[in-house]
Amino acid sequence: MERIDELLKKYFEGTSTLAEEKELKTYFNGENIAENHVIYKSLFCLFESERTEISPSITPITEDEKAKKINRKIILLTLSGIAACLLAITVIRTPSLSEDYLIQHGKRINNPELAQQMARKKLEKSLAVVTRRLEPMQTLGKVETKMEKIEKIEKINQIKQDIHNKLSKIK
Amino acid sequence: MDASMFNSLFTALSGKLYRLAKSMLRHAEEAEDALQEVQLKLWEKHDELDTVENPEGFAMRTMRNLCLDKIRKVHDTSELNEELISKNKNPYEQTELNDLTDRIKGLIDRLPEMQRSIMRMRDVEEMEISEIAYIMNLTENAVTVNLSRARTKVKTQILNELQATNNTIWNE
Repeated sequence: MERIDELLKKYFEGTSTLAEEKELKTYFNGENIAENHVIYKSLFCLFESERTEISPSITPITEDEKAKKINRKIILLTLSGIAACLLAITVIRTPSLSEDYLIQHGKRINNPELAQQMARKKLEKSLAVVTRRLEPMQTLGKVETKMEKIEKIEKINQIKQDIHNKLSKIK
Repeated sequence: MDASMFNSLFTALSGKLYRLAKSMLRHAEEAEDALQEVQLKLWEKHDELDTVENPEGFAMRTMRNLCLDKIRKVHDTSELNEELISKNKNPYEQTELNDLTDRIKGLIDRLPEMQRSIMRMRDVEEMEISEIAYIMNLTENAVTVNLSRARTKVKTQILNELQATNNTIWNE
């Protein structure tokens, strides 16, 4: 019993080895326990019973578990992107009442129909100006086409002349 | 490490991991969730597991860190406070603790988290001090000190309870 007292002392000091602790467990799980040791029986029996507690069943991992996780991430990112785009489109396209006005010559026009009419007129004028400015460019294009035709005629005349010269030499 | 090797390793460790989680989180369901989370966390690092010197210790450490995060989220670290733990005993629990083994279990459960985990790893899982030190991120000396404190507290409580029982018997 002195051995057990010594082991218990070491146990409570935290200096006992695993082998010594196993010796204690074996002793306390047996039947010949000294009266002064009985109070510690429950403590050592508790450890034994706790060790028998098993974990719940777990689903085994499969090789494609990682791929699944990455796919889940990609899907999540894609969905987030789509959601963000939809939100942005909604915000941009939703007409705001506070923006239905036009400033002309420093004057604010709040009637949306009138504002739209005036804006359309402005756009038509702008289009007319742009068209007018592009007219010389169209003329340039015509000149270019005519120049090309002249160059072609000159080439044909040159060829005619060459043929004519060769024929005269043969004669 | 391929899936089959990983599953074998994890199955062998699942009991220890589950008991550690249950001891820290105190709820079987939460411990089960933690076990599944750790399984995925470890699988994410399955390439590294081949190079880890002590995969068991690594897994236990991962589980402990996960449980600490969960405890901190729920209890805002008060769980780790020694004083709060020692007062965590309500009348209903007291009534339930009608058996000496249950009372001792209750005594261990009310130890501060660090002492409780160290005591369980040593006495239930029979782990070496060096392994526990790695899992707990402590020195071996610190583990021994905490283990001694935990066991001494439990011993004192057992002796106190015995004393109280004797007094009751004599007074009756």
